[in-house]
Amino acid sequence: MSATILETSSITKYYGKTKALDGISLQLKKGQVLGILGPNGSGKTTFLSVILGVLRPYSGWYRWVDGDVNSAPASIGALLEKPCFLPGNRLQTQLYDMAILHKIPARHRAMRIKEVLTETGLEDVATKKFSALSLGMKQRAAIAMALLSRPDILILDEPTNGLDPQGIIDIRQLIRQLAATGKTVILASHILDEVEKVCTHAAFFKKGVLAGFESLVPESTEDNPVYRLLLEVPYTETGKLLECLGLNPNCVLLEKMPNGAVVDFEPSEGGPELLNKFLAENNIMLSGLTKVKSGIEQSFMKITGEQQQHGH
Amino acid sequence: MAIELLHVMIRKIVRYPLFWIVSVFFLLIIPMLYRFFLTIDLTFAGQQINLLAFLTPDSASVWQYILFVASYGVYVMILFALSFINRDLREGIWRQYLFAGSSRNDLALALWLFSLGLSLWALLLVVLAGSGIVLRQSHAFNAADFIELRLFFAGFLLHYFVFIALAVALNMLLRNTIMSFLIILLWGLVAESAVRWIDPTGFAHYLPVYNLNGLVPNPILALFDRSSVAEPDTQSVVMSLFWLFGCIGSTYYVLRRKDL
Repeated sequence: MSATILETSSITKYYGKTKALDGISLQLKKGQVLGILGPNGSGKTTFLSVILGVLRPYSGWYRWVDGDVNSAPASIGALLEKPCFLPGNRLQTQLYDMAILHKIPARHRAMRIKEVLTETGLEDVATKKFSALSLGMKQRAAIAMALLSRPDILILDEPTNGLDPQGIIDIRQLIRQLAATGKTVILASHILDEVEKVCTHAAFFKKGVLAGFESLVPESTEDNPVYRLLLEVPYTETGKLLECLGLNPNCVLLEKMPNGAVVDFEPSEGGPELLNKFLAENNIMLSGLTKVKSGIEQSFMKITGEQQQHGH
Repeated sequence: MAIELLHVMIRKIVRYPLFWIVSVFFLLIIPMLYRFFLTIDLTFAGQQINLLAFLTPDSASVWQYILFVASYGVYVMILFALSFINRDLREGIWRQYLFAGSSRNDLALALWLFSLGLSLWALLLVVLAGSGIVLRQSHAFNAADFIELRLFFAGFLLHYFVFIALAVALNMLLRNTIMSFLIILLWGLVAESAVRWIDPTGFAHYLPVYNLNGLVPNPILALFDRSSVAEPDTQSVVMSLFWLFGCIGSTYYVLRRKDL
């Protein structure tokens, strides 16, 4: 079981009389990549600002691992709302300033700055003033700033804003690499596809409320991989399929469908073909077997749709 | 962490063109103000006194007068301090400080150190400009003046420190350079004088600008009175320290409570 990195409880935040966050409680574990999804104005950035210590919660609390209640963690990589740079200062100079604050030893600062500039594809504009950079480069610069101290926790608010397609791919790749090294990442976005491609978990925000939280990947371990599978059969066979799945101890039914089901399959050895074999032995011929990552779009529509109905 | 913050602030200050513009302006304006003030003829006990003639024989008196004149330059330093702080706030630099592990306490401490550092810089500039004036008036440069006037120099430093801290405290509430500066300027030059005019003996004596001005008294008036070196009076020192701690406390409170 991974350690809890962040816990929030009933966080509420007002802007004047407007309730921007309404009782947000969630937990984030080490190594998770949490996508915060929601339309504009749903409270994503406000929530990130609160857990980063920039905004004060009206009520409720948050606690980072080994930290005090309602205190920002000792060191964190963050991109919040917009890149925070002085327009008239050179990029590498500003990174150097932050390297001092991050207590990177003086002899390592230049090397570390070069590394992050290379990682983010900015090595050619290191000596340019921030105001002279394009929108995409500014966004990359902000990510470079966030990576400077090699933080264990990275918080990125709409990190692909303003990036060209190659930039988007690069940043997503970078986030995956960071997650693979055990870093914990929180990514706020209103792009479903982005969260689906990068994140392990998703939190759905709507009008300041946490409307849903779900895992986007089965809880696998290296020894026991879990496969999320879409099993399709003719309509007439659905009942038989569900009955048969109940007999397989390695199978967990997630969703019934008119012509099949979605399951998590955790074989002791082998892969999804074992389930196909098991079903065939029980006279069920699948018309389709597909690995699925998640139904994030469906979940999002379902959650926000339900919210709208409750609202009426 | 506050030391690292101060280190970064200093690096940014020296890269900020306004800092050098203000410093050069400061160096130029002090001799000009000094000359301007000396053209004024005072009438004392029915006698017309020319200040230049009055000061010329005594380099210590010249230094006192330079410090008195330069005390009005605090508004220039306040304008720079507010501009510098608000630029960082506007561009989200303070947020970066938090992400880098600085606490809000560190930010508050760095602000006070910044105010003190700026006051020391102002003092250094005054010493540089003043040395030019003293030498130009053909006085020998006398290091003993600094020892004789140590309390006057300390008063000048405290005057700047408290004034800048006052402006910073107000600015943390308003977060607006022009608004904060205008309030400080109007209060310092007009409003508090009006209060003192309405109530000359009462609580007006405890207001900040009255006491801050008492830290750098007009040496000419003091010389008329006592024929000795003017020194900051005790009430001014105590009340200035009271206001200083008030500003420090309110800045700390606002920084702890307010969104950044």
